[in-house]
Amino acid sequence: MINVRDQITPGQLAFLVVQTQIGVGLLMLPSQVHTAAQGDAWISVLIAGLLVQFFIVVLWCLGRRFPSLTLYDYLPALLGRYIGKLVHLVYAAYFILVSSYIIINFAKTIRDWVLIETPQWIVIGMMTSVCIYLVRESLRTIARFFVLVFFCNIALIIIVSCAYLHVNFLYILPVGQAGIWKITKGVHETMAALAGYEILLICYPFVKGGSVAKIKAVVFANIFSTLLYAFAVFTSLIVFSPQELKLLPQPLLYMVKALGFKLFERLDLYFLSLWMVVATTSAIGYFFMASKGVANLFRQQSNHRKAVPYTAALVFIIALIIQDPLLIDTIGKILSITGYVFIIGIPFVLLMISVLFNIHEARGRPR
Amino acid sequence: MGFFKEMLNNNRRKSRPMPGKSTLTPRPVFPTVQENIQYLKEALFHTDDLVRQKVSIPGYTSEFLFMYTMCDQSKIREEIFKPILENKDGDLEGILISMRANKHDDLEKVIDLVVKGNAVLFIEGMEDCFVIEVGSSHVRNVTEPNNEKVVEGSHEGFVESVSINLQLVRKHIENRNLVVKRYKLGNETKIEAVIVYLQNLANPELIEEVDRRIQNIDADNISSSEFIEEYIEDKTFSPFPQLLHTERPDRVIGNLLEGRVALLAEGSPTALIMPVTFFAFYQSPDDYSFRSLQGSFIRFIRVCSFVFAIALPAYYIAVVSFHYEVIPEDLLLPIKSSIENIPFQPILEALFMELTIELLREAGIRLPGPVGQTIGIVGGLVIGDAVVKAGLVSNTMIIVVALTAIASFVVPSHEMSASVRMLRFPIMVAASLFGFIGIVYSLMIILIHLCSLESFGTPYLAPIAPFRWKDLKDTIIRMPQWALRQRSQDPAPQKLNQQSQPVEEERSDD
Repeated sequence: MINVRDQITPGQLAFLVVQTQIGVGLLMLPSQVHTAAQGDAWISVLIAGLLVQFFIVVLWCLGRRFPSLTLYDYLPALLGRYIGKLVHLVYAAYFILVSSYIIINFAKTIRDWVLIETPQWIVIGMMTSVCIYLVRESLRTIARFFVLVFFCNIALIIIVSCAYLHVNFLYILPVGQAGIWKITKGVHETMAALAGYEILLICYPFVKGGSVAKIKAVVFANIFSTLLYAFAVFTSLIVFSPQELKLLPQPLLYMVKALGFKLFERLDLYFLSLWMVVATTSAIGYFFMASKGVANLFRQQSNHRKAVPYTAALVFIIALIIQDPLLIDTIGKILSITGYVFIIGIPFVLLMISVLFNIHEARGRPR
Repeated sequence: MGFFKEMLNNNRRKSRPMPGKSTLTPRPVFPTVQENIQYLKEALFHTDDLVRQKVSIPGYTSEFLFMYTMCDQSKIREEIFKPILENKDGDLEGILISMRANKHDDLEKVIDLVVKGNAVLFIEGMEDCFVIEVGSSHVRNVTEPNNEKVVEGSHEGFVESVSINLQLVRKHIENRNLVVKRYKLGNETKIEAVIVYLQNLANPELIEEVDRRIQNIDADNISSSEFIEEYIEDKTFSPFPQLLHTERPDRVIGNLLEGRVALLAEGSPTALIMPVTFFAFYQSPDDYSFRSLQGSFIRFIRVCSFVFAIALPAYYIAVVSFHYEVIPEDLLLPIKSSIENIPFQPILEALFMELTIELLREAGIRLPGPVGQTIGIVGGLVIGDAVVKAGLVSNTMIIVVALTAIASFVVPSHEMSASVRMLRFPIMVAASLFGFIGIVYSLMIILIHLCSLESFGTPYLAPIAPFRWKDLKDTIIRMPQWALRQRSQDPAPQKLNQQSQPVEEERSDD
């Protein structure tokens, strides 16, 4: 049922998850979490990562009950035909909206930092076309590309590490200064940035090998993303004083901007170039989920490739419409809250239904 | 859409029925010599280079026919007249044996043989005719190919004859597993093409696929191996070559031993190797004749040259037109002073210089040896100097363009060098429009394309995408020979191990 050419290895799944998780959030996260949790922002990130591990286990349990079906395939079996279709539609819409949101944020950052005069639609169009170009290939090709560009993350870490020449560890002291409530708020801020592991819902049947290998891959991926985010947040915290951090929307960029070597000046431009690749892969991950959803909306088990042009058109148009900064903020808030529903709420309900009514896949068909 | 799809996928994708090979009905030999000769002359449309000549074999009326343009006169004397003179009183049987004649009874087949350069002997009253091989052959000496020179190692090169090329390959692989498969390609040209592989290494699925693609070629004009390439490659409109061209037997042998297939054809000294990966184009036999450290160093530089050749001019354009703040402080003034007075945008400067270099290269190839070198010097030194003095192009741009040109010629494969030179133009344009963003996007598109490209079912960018840690040992660097225990996985060879575990022996360095 699953095309052999679409199958990926558990290792590739790990990279798929990492690249979908790490995206535009990387730049904004430090200041967002800092606003909520102040000097304890790094603790928030670690706690959020731990929480995500539990969510991943829920998603995995659900996927394990339907080893050769995607989320879209077993929705009707669990929720009935009409509610199932409705939830399916809402999922597809959610993924499309997230793709648009990533692209908008990306275009905004590019406008603020590099191409100040270039109209937004050009940057949005470029990003969308790269997404189309990759998503219309098989999942295997997408995974290969994600593995290939993983080096960008490593390069980002190396660039950020250079900031350790000017740090002050006193900024994070005393540990626990913000209090539990504020740390929890910080966790909430981080959850949106860590989103992306829900690709497991869609990719589960495409991965070769046993279910243990799959959960291992996703857990390792999440550990990496969490540590990378924690590293970014921690570095920002000890480089900038709390007062400075309040003023900086993208602390990482300001931080590397100040760095300079004899041969390389303005590291922020190189940093942004690498980050662009990372952000694009994140958009591609959501794009894949969205086009899979759109394709399956009309025909079960159909290939995601056919839906790519329509999905791309939707994403592009939504990204063009949402230009008002206040609106972007509102959408960001909505997405971070509805994210809980889509990523953990619905899957948890589905798992409960599946367990209570003992519905699971038998001989390749949902019963 | 359908049309474009078909165009982009090569029409080979659909399994077409085998092209109808027109089979001629056999034509038995006529009883009289006259009738036979008449039939042959008719069949060959009275072409003027067909010559008939009487011979006197005692007791028989006989005559033979040959194409003098395809035959060697001294061979005719040696193979036909000499046996007759020597066997004046001998029987016919003895004469024919010493002529080394082959019996044939189908005139249609005989016609093809005559066209190939054989003489045919007709004897009155006989039911068979006799074909004697007297063809002349002109074969170039086995010399080192001009376009693939190496410092150390074998200096043999292929020639235009398949049989000699096969001999060069077999000489180095004395192995019963070396299999040769013959094809007659080109409905009109009917040249001989062969694929060579090692039966116990090459993947049977690969052989089947190669065979299917070659069988499906239905064209009149196939006159060398390069013609075949476009019929059997995966994506013709990809900028990257998907078959490796080489004129070196040692390169072919190395690849055969990795489980790949080589295609040789009459009329061209070029062997095509399939399937290949991107990195195969950056390997040279030199890497293996040097010691591991030196080989790795050179290969690493070569792979880096790909990045330089493709992105350096784009990077420079992006820096001077968008991100001048990237330039280090001490360099800012010299660069500024050299650019300041140039009336053109950096992209125009770069395009002008890049195209000039392309022109020089092309002119250098077309002109005879010494003149070609003169053009290189005149172009490189005189034009380069004058163009800066005239204020058309900046000094730094000349440096960038020259570095790029050198980097693009480092590739040991000409097709790859050509595609790299072609690819940098779109990146330059993107850089001039969007700066670093443009560069990153065009590089991403190229990488995505490379990831999706396949050569005969194996991923083109292996072992980097898909990532195979074990295969990296012979990709960007070259590990010592004894460490290359396993073949690379990309051609899916039947046998992965190529040597036993090195014996752990105490080696002291003192």
